[in-house]
Amino acid sequence: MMNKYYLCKMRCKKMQIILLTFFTVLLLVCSGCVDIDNPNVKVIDMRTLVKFVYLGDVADSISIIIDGSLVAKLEKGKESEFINVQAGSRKIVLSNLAVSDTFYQSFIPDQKITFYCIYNSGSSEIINMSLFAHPTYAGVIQYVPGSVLVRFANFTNGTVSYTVIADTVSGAERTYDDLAFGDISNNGKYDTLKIKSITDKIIYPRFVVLGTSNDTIVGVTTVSDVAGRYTIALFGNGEYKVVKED
Amino acid sequence: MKKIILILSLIIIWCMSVGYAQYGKLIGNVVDKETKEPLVGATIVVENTGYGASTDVDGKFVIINIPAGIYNVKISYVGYQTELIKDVKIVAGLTRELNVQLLSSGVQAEEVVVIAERPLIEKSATNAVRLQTSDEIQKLPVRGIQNYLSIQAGVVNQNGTIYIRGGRSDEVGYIVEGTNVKDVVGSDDRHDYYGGLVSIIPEALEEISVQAGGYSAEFGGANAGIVNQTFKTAKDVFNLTVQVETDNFGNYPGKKVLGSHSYGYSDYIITANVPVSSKIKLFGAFNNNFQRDRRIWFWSGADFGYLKDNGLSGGTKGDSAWVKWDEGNVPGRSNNRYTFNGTLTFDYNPLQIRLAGGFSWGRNKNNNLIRNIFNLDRVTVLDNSNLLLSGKVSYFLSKSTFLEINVGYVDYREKAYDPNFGDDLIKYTDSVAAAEHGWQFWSLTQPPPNYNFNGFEFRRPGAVLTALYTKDRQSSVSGSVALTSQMKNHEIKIGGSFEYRTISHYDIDTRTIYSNAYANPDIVRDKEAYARMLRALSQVNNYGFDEFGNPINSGPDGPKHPYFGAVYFQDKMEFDDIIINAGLRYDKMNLCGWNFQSINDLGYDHNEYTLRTVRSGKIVEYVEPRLGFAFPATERTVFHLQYGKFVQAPALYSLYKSRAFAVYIFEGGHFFPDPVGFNVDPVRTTQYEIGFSQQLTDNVAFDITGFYKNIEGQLQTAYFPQPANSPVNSYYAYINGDFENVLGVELTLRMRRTKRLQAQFNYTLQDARGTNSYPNGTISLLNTGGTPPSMVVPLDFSQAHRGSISMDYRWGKNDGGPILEQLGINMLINFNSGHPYTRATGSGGQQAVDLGALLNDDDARTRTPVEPINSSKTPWVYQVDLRIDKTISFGPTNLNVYVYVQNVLNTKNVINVYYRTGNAYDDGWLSNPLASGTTIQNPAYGKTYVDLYRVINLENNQHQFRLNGFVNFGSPRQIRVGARLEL
Repeated sequence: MMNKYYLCKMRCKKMQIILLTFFTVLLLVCSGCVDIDNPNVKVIDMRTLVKFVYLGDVADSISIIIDGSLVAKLEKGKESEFINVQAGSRKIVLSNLAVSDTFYQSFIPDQKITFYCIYNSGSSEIINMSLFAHPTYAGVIQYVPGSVLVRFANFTNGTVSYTVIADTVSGAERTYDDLAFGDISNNGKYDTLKIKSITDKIIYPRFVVLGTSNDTIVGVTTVSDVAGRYTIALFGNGEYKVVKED
Repeated sequence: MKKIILILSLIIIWCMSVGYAQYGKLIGNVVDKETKEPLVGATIVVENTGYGASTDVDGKFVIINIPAGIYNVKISYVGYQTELIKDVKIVAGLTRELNVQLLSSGVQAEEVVVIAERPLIEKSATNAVRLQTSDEIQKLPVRGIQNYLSIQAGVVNQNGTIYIRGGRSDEVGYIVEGTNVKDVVGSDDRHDYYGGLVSIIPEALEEISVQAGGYSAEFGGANAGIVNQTFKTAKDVFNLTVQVETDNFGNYPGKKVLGSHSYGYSDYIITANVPVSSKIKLFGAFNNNFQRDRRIWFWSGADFGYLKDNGLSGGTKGDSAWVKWDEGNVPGRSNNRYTFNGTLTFDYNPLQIRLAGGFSWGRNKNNNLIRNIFNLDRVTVLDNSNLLLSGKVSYFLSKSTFLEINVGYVDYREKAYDPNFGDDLIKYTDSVAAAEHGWQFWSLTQPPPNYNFNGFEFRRPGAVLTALYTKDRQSSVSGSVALTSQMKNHEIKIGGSFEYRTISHYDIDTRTIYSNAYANPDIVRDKEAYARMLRALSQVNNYGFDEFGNPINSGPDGPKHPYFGAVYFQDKMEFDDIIINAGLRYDKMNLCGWNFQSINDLGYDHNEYTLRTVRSGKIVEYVEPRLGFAFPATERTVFHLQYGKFVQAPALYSLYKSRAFAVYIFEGGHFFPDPVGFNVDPVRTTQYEIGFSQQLTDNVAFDITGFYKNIEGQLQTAYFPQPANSPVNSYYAYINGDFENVLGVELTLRMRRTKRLQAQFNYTLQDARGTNSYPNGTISLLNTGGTPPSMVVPLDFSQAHRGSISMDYRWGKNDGGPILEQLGINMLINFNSGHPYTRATGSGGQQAVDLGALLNDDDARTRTPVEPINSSKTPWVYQVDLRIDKTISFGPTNLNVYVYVQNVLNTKNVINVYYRTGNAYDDGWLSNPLASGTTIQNPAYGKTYVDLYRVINLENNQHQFRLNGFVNFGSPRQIRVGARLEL
């Protein structure tokens, strides 16, 4: 009787082992099936980075509102940090003491965009201009790492054109020939852009007012020894500001 | 605990999926050897199983429901010598007859041992059943299910796709362990298509049988033929085998050994027989197979040195690359697969349970093109897994009546993707992601353009090779119940089956996803808007998944759920001089395709790129009579006749597309080589078969079977012009329009092992004619304003003559001396006449110059036939394969070492030709200055163009493969060596 009992118990144990093994194998097998449950395309919130620079000829400040949210308040000649905004069409309101402008701006994803808000007293609007945009990554073919790219913009309130020359200046690490960026004329609103790439760390450009009998140096600046893209913006009554755009 | 076991067992049964006969029957009589009087009450026992019977008053016995396999059968009777008959082969679905004469003995005498021989003719078969056993498979100089099928009468293997008796490839059914594993979705790829969903290890097979039509009422779902595979059942002694095979003798890359290349082939197989107890037995087989080059082509190497990009494909002019590749192997075409097959049997007579399972996971790289040699890192990877669980419970209600319940579950999954970015499709054309891999894109969203070397384009590193990401799932849950009763000479079987499939598919054009997202950032933030954009711009084709690739279980984009139900009744009447197998089958199925009365029913919405009110599902019912006769005129002569009607679903890929895909079609203006079917019904076949089997001598028999088939309702492409007020434009769709007639004769000659030689000859003569060879065979004709064909023509895969000769010469144990003992030589000769094709002419149209002016199967716009359709034929081909093996025994341990050579003579068989010339070596381009002169004289191409054209196109058939999906030549010689250790 006992023997039968133990025999039966042993059989039951064997059965348990077999079934346990079976289900373990089954579990392992199921986990080895090709995973097809992952999503392949996702809803994405594509972003872009926008910097605002306020270039006015009066001493007031400007508020920048995107889609109803105040993102920056800037004094004259100041720039914001890069602000992370949604790419796509955004409603932007720019307002200073005198005027308030509303417009829609389309932002391409994955860019660093510098937005120049130009106000000349007497004008009924704030001129906005996205001067520069480029992808935030290093894989794009146009970008040359280690170089300095500089351009000059004339946002002055007059009608004077400027010529910009980068040339040999005492203290330069190497000697350049005069490097003319060409005429930057003032067409009443803002100037045509000129861009040159200088494959060195530092440049010392000087600004020369065009049309006078003697070249007049209105300013001398060093952009930086950090590789990147820069804009030297002339605004107001001949003031200038250097803005790093990436 | 018992409850848990019971619940788990029920879960197994419930979870698992249509069962078909995997069991055979043993009948016979027992008489006194001297008086010939029947012995009443003699005992017949199938050893190591619970099967057995006693003879009746006429000395007859019947044992039903025996799993296919080889058994020892013991017959005993008081006062008589016991007889043990060894190696009795039980074949699924057939009756094995054992007639025994016992010798009277006054005293207890020694047991008489007799070795059974497999009968040369199957008297109980009312249709042609061709069987290969594990023993035969093991000796063949080829490996793989398709190769085993290819040598059978009635079976055609063309460009890697199996056709039986002239039916289309989707008309072949595959059954493993009683579960239907047929791929009901099928493929629009006409080449290299295997119609089964489950991977099988050859060493795990007990037998593989091919029924080329004419099967009994219990079988359905396949009109042309059924391939039935049964796993081994563990024997009563523990046994372990370890087997290793390779073709790698240090002859890679580009080197040859004995005039042959290595294809990086290695195969590791372990099988185990584990008799857990006298009633519980476990059999398992594990296999890892790796191939560095998974297709074997004649492949020429070349070294052109550095070539310069001429900039004509948009790349930087002057960029250079060293254009070189080795002969023998196509780079980036590997395959690695792990497979497990096994059975677990519980023999608690009268209750018997058989569980069988299989799991396989594989990964292959999918390069076929020389133009990708600089970009192999981005070759598409294809992952595939398949799972089979099947269970059968049979319960003997009495000695002659049993109930069987089969359940089965199949899960098949596949995914084709870029190995660098996997499922994250937005990265495929994202230059930031590409930069992380060191690839420089042309622009933010544009991959680098191709090199153009003297007119031949090569992909730059980083170019996107997975233009179409795909993922698929096909699962089935099936079950069947059958009650079988042996009532005197009648084997009555009543049963029913049900199969429910779940089919999901997702594919999308990866090249547009990032650029579209980049250009529309506000849309990709909104799920609904993004989904619409994917429908409209990325040609997403999804069901069972939403537009984003997330699995979904319901709704209009939910998975397709076709179901197939059947009930049947059959009576197999086995008399001495006639066997009648009469049956009636009732099929009810829902193909789950789209249906509409009026085009307005669809709710066509162009703005949303969808069909709003699409209706799927139509239940159809058929009654199919099956009637078979076998007339055993003598012990050595059997006639058989068969008539039957068969119904099956067409390949469902033709019915299943996404709603967005339908919108593309209804938009008009696009050329769709593969449209979608609306209101489609199943395909119907009526078959007549007449056969004659004759045993010529004790060891030689032949079978000759003639057949005629009429197939109706095959899918055909049709053009539906629309009136001006229609909501949709004129469109193309599949309908049940094609028909086919097949007439043929199959001859099989078998010689049992005699003086060490065993041989078999199979031959088929057939003529398959139909209106089209493929569902979309007429699409380009329609697209150029033609009308659908109404006359039958020879079909592309109609090989008039096809045959094989298999010879096995083998020394047995203690035979031939130390060298020749247990040495065997197996030779297989395959031959077939060519297949039909149509000679044509035409221009290359807008094709790139690296394609010459090759004529394209899928595009009739520039192709003009110069003769009636399919009236030319490719040449005859033949191939000789050889295997030599030697077994060395060390006590109970056997070591079998072997070498087998496929295509021993390294014959460069012409399996396809160029339509323009009818020649496999000359496509009519370089050889015709009028056609190619301007190109050759163009300084951007020049002499190097000619050299590149010769090696890339004429020697390696790259343009043929790119446009038509096949190469012109069969496989070269391949030498494999192996060893199998049996413990």
